[in-house]
Amino acid sequence: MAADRDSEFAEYMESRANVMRRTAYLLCGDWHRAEDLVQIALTKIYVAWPKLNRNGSVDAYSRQVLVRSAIDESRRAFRRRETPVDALPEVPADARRIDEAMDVRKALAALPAGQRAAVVLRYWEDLSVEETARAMRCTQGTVKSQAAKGLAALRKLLSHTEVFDNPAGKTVFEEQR
Amino acid sequence: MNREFRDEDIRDLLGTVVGSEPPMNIDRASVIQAGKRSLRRRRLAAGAGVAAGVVAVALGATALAGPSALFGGPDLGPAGPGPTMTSTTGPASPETTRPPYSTTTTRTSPSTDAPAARIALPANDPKTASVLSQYNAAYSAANPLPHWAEPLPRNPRFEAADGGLRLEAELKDSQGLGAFRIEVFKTVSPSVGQPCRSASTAAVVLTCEPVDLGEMPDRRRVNGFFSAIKTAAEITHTMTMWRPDGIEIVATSTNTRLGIGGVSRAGPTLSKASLRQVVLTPGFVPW
Repeated sequence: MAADRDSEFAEYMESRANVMRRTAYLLCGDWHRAEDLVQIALTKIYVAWPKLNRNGSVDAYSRQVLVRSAIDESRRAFRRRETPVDALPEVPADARRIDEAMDVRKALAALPAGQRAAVVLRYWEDLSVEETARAMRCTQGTVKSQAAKGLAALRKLLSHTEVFDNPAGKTVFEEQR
Repeated sequence: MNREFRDEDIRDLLGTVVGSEPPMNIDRASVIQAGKRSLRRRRLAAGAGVAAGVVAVALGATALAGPSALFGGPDLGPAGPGPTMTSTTGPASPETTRPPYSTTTTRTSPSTDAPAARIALPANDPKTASVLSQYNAAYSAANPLPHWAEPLPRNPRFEAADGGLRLEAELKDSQGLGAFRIEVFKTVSPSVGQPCRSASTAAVVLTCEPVDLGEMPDRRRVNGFFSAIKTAAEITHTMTMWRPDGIEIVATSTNTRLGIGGVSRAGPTLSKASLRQVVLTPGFVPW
């Protein structure tokens, strides 16, 4: 019985951990913290595994835990100040993509946790308003307003960057430096 | 603003952010272990909750039945002699005997070759209360635990146990929980011998070495021993301090849960250096 649970869960973890980590990274903006969030989520999934597996709601539950944990983390005082770094980790990429990624990362980091979660769930996870509301444990109206505000903020922050073909070629953040 | 966001644009933008991800560092086995620990905790908490609920319901029912039920019912007067009964067996013994309270002390540290006789603190004695309060004050004034080890309960206290003092807690860090114990005894004379032999034949002695613990104010040396003993997956770190005045302080850290058992982490929470700090913390509190 326990062995079945372990092997089923291990399979799930093997197949979903990377996906969960990407979502967690978009929610928190730091790979190490993203792994912490994934571990928290996986531990909770393990505990509730029989029920989740029976209901086929494992992914929904994992998103819910990730979002709740990321929002809780963001409320802690020492996490509030985002500290974007200048270098992206390891993997080589062309310079323009790195600049774009940096700009988007910084713009995402500037969003409040709720708006960020709404944008990530709606546009990255491709969830419906209803599903996003369930994951965020809020009303559909809140999801709509949070997503709209989040998009507006992203638009404003990215409007002068290379991401949208700014002729000056300078990002908002470069101007701030 | 150059152009409007479309859904695909946003997804592409988010994709650029996660495009260059570092290798995964999540240890699958440790996630499953953490899940099992969490499951055990929930089951224990649920069991305790059910027990508390049963007690609450019983008390509530008794209270609702009225004060007479709570205090034994109305006074029915003295009982009469009752019907005469004959029995083929002899009368039950009028007194029950309880085995005398054992004063033998059980060491939780590895056995010594020649353990010195202990002078037990009498239970419910003012002297015991005084020693308890002095050790509790010494340890709470100068918390000897490293900053990353959070004790559960948060303020563990010494209690009189086995003729000495004992403090028990669990220490929580990023790896999980592990049992922690400090015991203080008074012996007739300072112990000698190496406390690294375990009663268990399956035990493997990982470390067994003397530790210099400085000297008393009267310049007599304070001896100590550190041992790391592995029994199956359970690892126990023990620091034993033998003072020349007969006081023995034993600090133990393991990788198992307190009172529950079962290995909960790869190694004990506290290292040799941390345990050394623990036994040195009270200084020379009188007995």
